[in-house]
Amino acid sequence: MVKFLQRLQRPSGERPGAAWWAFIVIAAVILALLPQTLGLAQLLDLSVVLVLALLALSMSFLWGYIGILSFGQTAFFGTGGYVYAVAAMNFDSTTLPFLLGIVLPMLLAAVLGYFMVYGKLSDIYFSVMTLVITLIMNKAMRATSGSQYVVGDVRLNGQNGIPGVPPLQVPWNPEVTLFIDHVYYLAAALLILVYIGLRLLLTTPFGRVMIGIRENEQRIELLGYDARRYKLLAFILSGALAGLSGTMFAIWGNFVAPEMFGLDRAAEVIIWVIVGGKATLIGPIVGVGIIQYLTSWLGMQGVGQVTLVLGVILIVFVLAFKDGLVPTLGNLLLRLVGARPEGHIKKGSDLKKGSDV
Amino acid sequence: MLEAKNLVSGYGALPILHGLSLRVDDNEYVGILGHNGMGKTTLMRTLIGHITPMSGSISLDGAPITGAGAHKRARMRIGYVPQGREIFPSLTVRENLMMGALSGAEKRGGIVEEVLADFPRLERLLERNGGALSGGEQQLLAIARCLCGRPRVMLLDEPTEGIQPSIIDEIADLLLAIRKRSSMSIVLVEQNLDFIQALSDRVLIIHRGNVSRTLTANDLSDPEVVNEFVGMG
Amino acid sequence: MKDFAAKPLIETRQLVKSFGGVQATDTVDFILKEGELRCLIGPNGAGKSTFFKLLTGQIAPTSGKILFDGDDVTGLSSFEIARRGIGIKNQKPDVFDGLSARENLWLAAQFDTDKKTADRRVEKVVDELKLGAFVHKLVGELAHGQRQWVEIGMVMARSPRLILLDEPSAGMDQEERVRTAELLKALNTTTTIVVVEHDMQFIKRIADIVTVFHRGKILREAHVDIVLRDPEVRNVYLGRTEVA
Repeated sequence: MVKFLQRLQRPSGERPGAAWWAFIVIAAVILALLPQTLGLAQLLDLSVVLVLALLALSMSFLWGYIGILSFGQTAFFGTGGYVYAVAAMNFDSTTLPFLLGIVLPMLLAAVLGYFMVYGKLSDIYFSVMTLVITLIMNKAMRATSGSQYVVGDVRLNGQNGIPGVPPLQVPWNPEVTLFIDHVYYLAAALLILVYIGLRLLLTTPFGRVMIGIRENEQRIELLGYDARRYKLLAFILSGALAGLSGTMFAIWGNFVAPEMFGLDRAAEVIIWVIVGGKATLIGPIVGVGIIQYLTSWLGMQGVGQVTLVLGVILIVFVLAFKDGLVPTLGNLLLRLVGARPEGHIKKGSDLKKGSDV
Repeated sequence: MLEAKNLVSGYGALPILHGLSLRVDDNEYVGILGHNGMGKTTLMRTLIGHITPMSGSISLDGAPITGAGAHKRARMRIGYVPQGREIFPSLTVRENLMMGALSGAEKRGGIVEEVLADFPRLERLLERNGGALSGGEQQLLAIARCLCGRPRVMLLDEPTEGIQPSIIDEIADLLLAIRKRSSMSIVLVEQNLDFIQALSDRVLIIHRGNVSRTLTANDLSDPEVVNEFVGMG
Repeated sequence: MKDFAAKPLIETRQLVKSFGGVQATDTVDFILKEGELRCLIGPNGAGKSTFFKLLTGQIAPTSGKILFDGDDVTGLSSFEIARRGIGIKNQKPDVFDGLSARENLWLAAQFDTDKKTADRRVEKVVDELKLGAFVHKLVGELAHGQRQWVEIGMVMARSPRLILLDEPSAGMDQEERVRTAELLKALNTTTTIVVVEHDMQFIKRIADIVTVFHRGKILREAHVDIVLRDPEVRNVYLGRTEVA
């Protein structure tokens, strides 16, 4: 347990232990059983949290693992959504559109990432570039209201977005389409798989080099690793994840709109990750849940200035919980059980000396 | 003048200093020698107020300053030249020195010019950016900047690290000259035995968070004492 | 280790690096034979660290050539040069602060091999450098001298052909300096080494041929005893320091 809590403090290169797998199983069981107790409306709310958690993971993976702050995740999110919508409305089957919704954002990330990484943009310019890309795509998509903007049979509709995005079909039986609860199960399964995948990635040499780049890029190069290759691959992977999230978002709401690329969304992603804690993967997932439910709760209470309240929350979190909610809570629990956070553990005689405090 | 009693201090929950006491008189230069990890830098950071001790007290002229923050101690004229120098790289040498002068009155009073009289090397570099200086020049600048605050006691953390031998000599000469004409005291953490011997009235050996021995400067020229210290595990 | 028949492991020809108008490295012709342990000394700002950065591809030269083992490596990026077998410990500890000492070493060791060999290499370095006491701690929380050890260990774990060490004794206590000197001498039986240092005691412990840099140029290159008595070297660098 203590070890598990210590792990919450920072990404670890060690193989996850039994406690972690137990945690995964429990989480999976809870997610699987929830539809028994929840109504459809609640399930719909929970589904979007799971879908957006994928987006949060794509961001925290880049930021927390390799140290790149990208505002561009919404660009890939939006691209994924639109690609699925347009393709699904043009084709009979939805299987290929689903895959395209992941692959095309991935390719976009590869092209953009190649120029940004190999153009040796420094971290801050990289962040600004990704922000600009998001803004451009948002503007461009808003400007497609004219009748000349047609892809196949589908009008892009500018500001109004594209309604009536087809639901996902079962690949081997196109007659059956996924209903609300099925989308929920799919989202839950995807989230758990992505979470496990990213966590296990850390135990591979690739993952550990990524952490090394975050800590000290120059040293990584001096050890003979081509840091640019790692950064580009990480960026492409995160683009694919954001695209997956966007695709699922389009499936969940049967609707895509330029807001998917919006500045609001880009800011939200950062808030999720900061509130939850970027040092961990579970943090941002928790962050999405808290912020999403808080937003709708505030809306129901008739608080007009939801954005303002969210802003205040962000400031409080940045000031009070520097590392984010999950690492801070983990730390607190560790103190309660009398253990020290990882990294402060001293071996041998020092431990004896420390016990008088 | 500066006195610390029974300091227990460290990072997080682990004390590195275990009841260390220390006393520096007016115009006294006290050297501190010890192996790495024995608490020298922790002691400096506690004295300057970057770390609040878990127990024990620090006083200046009998007045307690244990809980005072680093900026307050600076105003009480405790100066600090950290390991690694920490000058402002994008400010000019002159601007760096102005930063060191605590109040406007002092700047108008010409403290910068007064200090510069002792630093001919810096005088030639006044409009150069701090970051463009060589390591030795940066160290001189860090010491000059500290002196611009007219410290009553100066805490020096490894001032010779990475500095060429001839500038180390300059620093030693300068600090000895200052001792003659002012009442400033110094607490000097150093690994360079020649340097610490040249400057210190007393040398405290720190071992496992406490003062294990007090030596005179002359003891350090005794090879047996030095061997004992160097070999001390 | 003196073997005058050995071929040059690294060589620079008319190497120049200018920053703005300042020649930090000024037409340097430097030759180092395989198996040497060379010390570089010179005033702060003489261009020693710049020279190291040029050799490891951290900065590109303005003009001139760098040859490693006979191959032209001028303009290669630092990771390519590292792969050819040059390891460097930079002047300021250049480590992964947020990782444990073991993880630091592991990243260095696993570069061109599988996990098992990497683990073995790490254990070997931990033994050789006696890092056992703090190998589990985060490097960011270690004392300055211990961080230096970790960085030296990272360089060793890669088993490079040429090791460049920029002020290895800085921040080390006297005992650690003696140990470092012994370590370098042992390492030199298999590896070519260049060391930048200001600690003359340390230099005298390890040095054979010493190269003196001054204002970006090589001022002197000779046996340590000759160099330390040279009046010009004394004038620009040593001052009155006793070195006899």
